[in-house]
Amino acid sequence: MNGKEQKVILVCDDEDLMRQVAGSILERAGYTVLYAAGGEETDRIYRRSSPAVDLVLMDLSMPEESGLDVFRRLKAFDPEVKVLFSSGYQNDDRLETALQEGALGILQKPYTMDRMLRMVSRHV
Amino acid sequence: MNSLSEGKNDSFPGSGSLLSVLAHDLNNVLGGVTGAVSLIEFEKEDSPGLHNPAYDPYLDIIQKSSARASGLVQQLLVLTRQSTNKSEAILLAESLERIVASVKTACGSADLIILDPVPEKARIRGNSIRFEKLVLLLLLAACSKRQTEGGEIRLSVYPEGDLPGKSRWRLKFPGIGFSTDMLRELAGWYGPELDSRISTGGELDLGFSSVAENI
Repeated sequence: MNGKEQKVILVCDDEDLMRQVAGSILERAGYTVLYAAGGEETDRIYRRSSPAVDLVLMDLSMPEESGLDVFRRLKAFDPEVKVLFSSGYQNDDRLETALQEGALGILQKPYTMDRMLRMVSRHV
Repeated sequence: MNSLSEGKNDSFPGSGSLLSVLAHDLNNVLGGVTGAVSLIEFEKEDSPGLHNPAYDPYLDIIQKSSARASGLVQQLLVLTRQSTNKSEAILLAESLERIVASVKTACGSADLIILDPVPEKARIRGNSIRFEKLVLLLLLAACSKRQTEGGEIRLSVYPEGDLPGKSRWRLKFPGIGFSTDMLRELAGWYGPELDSRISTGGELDLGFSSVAENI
């Protein structure tokens, strides 16, 4: 991404390992990465930095609050928010609902660098 | 496959959802391995001077192991999902391809299972989680038999009947040694909408209600 404005991606996952992997892949590809470990933190960071955040990559299944609920809150704050979900489940009603409500897509876990970057670059 | 029953045997109350959480966590751990290996592969190509080719066989082992583990975890995720009573339209091609892919990856063999082309319009009515569990359990039983006896597993989907609203889609499995008692148990577990029979060739033949307008 040399010579281009750096895009900012907010990674939201309750699992530290997944944040590390996602962040390493995205940083290696030249993105600026912000991190959140749960719904409230995502909400707070997005509200503080929203014009600069180009994409939110969010885990669907988190213990305190599902990604779908966080997505709805972000959407209420910013109808233009771009959210890509990551999930281990392929057959999940919540994924279908999220897509119907405007989520950009689903990145199935576990993912490789190639698969993740292909999906992310389609949307930012 | 001794029993398809859920909530019986000696399972601890609530263990289903605990197992589901474990499967989800295991998938995240695997995500760490898969992601990190793909980063190493990237660095290998990006900075070849830093790469020691002596490590390649070990990387290959990690990649193959994580691919197989990924298939196994996908199976655990399917088996530990909590079924609901929701009835919905299930697109057979999508659902079967997903399950077959996870079993092939977990077995580390692309040739063991052959899924004949599934008609695009094949949709059945049922609970998708329960349906995927059923297919996965039967495939695992078939795989275990084939691994000792040899041969491939061929799945095929075909329509039955032509009256709108009364038609069914049938799913044919190879002989996996099902007895009449097991068929009864299978029907009891899945629900009355499933009809099952053993064909003359020893194949397990399952019938599901189609979504009325698509046959």
